[in-house]
Amino acid sequence: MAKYFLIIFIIATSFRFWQITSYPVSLTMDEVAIGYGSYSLLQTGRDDWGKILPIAFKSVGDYKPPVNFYLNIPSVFLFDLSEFAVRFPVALLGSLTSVIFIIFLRRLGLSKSAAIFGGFWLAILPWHVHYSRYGLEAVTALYFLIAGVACWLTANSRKSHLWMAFSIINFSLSVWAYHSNRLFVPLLVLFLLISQHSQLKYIFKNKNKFFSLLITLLISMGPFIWLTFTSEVIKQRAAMTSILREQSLQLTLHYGNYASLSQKIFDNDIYLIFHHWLGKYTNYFDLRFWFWKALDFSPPGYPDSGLFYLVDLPLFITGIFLLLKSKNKFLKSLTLFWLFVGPLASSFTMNDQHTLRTLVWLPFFGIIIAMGFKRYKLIYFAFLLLNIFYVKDLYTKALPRYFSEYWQYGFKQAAVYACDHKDEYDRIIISPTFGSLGPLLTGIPDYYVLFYCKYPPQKYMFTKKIDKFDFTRVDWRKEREVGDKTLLISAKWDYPLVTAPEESVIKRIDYFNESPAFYFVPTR
Amino acid sequence: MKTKILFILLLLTSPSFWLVMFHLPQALGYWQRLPQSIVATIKSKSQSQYLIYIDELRWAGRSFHRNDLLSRILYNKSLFVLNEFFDFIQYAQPKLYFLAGDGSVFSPRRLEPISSLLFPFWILGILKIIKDKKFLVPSAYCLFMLIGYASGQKNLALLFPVLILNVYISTLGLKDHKRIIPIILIYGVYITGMNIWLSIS
Repeated sequence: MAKYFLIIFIIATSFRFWQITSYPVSLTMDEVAIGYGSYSLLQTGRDDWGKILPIAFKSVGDYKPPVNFYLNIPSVFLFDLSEFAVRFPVALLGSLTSVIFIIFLRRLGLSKSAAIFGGFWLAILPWHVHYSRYGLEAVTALYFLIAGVACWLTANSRKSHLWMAFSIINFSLSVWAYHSNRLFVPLLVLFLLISQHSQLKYIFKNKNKFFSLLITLLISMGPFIWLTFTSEVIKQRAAMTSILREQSLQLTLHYGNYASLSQKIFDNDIYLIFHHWLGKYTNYFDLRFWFWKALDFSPPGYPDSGLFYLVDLPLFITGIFLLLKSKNKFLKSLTLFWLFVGPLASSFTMNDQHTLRTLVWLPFFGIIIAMGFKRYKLIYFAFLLLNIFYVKDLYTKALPRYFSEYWQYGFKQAAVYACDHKDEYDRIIISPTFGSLGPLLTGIPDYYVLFYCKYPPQKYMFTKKIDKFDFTRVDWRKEREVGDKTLLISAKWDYPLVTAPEESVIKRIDYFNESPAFYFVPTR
Repeated sequence: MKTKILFILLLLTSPSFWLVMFHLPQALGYWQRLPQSIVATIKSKSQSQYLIYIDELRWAGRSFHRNDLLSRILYNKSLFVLNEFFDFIQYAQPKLYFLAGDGSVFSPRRLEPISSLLFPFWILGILKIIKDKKFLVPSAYCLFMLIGYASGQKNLALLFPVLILNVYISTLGLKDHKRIIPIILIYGVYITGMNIWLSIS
């Protein structure tokens, strides 16, 4: 079995580490913020707000989960503050997820060949590969979730308190790592407790070991529960993304003011919220989303990739049939649970069909497709290569071409140039507003400057200022009147042609679709 | 409860069933115009914007030759056929029948065509059909979906047979959960009442 683990791991790493610093084309806001936060922890033991070894990171005001910050520390230490350092830990964990998925499937009772195929399937899955390549917490959380279930099943089969402790730790890390898992994991644990309660009697037989498990649970989840009830840190992200904030819903609510009894019965707010939520939930049960158009590698209406390869579709259908025929009652009930509860957390948030927030749903599909594999081996591998080339082409050509600005492409180049030339200017102003169609997008250029210039965290954390830098919309005429020598870096929307003649532009960065991203204009 | 009785009760507590019955002349009008709709749909497919998008992706920007063999293998009319297949599948999307409707007189925007609480049992019903290998129901389902797809309209008058099949599939999934049946029926009466209230107000 070890040789299969190695082969799957090598395949998974090749898909995730190939040109990892080039695709996606730029570090996202989250990546630079987490990267710099880890750098700050490494250098000073504090985050970029000056808090010592925090368990909640304020970051850019969105209170990011802490796990990836700490995971990045060894990587930043080894590879310095760089794009590779930020993306390495999650790409590695994503690769390891393929291996742990094999163990997960074996513990569930799937055959050896089905489990190995499941690991291979995850190793090359576009949905998982895409998110593994850019340092996202959801991938980290999924690894710990799958490991948690594998450890749980191992604990029950071996009646081992040690494995149960590992399960508690992994489930806890999954909760700490990402927001969606904060709803899913407790429900999963409840399901496991109910469905396997008869197998858990061994836990109580040894009192010392039982109390050790309780202490493990208290240490791993106690701070989380404490934070939930004593601060806004845990609740804020849920509040920011909740469907209750959607205007389309808010405009329909009555907030208790009903015109008549019949309106209170047939048009009440509870039903309206339920109806709105159910619309979000049922959006996820869509074959087109699963197998044809989901990952947004191309614009709406264009050919795209689903969450899975098209060649997985016959395996999925066959897998459902084989699962229903199976005598493994626990496997059937767990799969049914995962089917219905998987998209639950993301259905409570504002976006329709959010592929990242539903990553927790992935194991359901993996179980089914792994079971369906044995009937279609030859056909599957015959068409798989074509599927892979198709998705790879979209990922490396269409995605950068159409969406480079949505990855904040250009801020890196702006930050690097500004830092290299900052001694030539009295001030450097970088506008946070950008976009090829208008000043429609807002970024955090300050964090790109912090990251690429490796600005000392000690200087930044208490002042929240970077020497010589400002981050506001620019006004070329007004800045010229100030008198000092200032470098303005901004999208073209801040330079109406009449006020900023082209000869003033000393550098220009374009997006991959050849439209201008940023102009570099000195005032003198 | 026998399957037939449960099926009839669920059908009678589905608002879109009554809306199609009350607007029967309008519904029949859609069926009468079906041949013209099919011809118009076929014509529009040949001029589909999707074919232009395929060419655009094949070109893939500045640095790749239009006739590059790999581009031609990856981006060709088979993508259009597959896209049409998934467009066809969209006529089975549960949201259309259990929640959103088509926004017409047959299922106004706020009203559930079929009780939304039946959705999980619809899934269970599908699983039951797959397990028991009852392929007559899915075959009929695909056939009636084809009518909607060929007309190019997600219209519950044309998809009325599919709606009835969805109620039947939900019945299969629900019938073994006897304790939940009264809740489903009460909710069905509630949304049928909502249908009446929305019509009046």
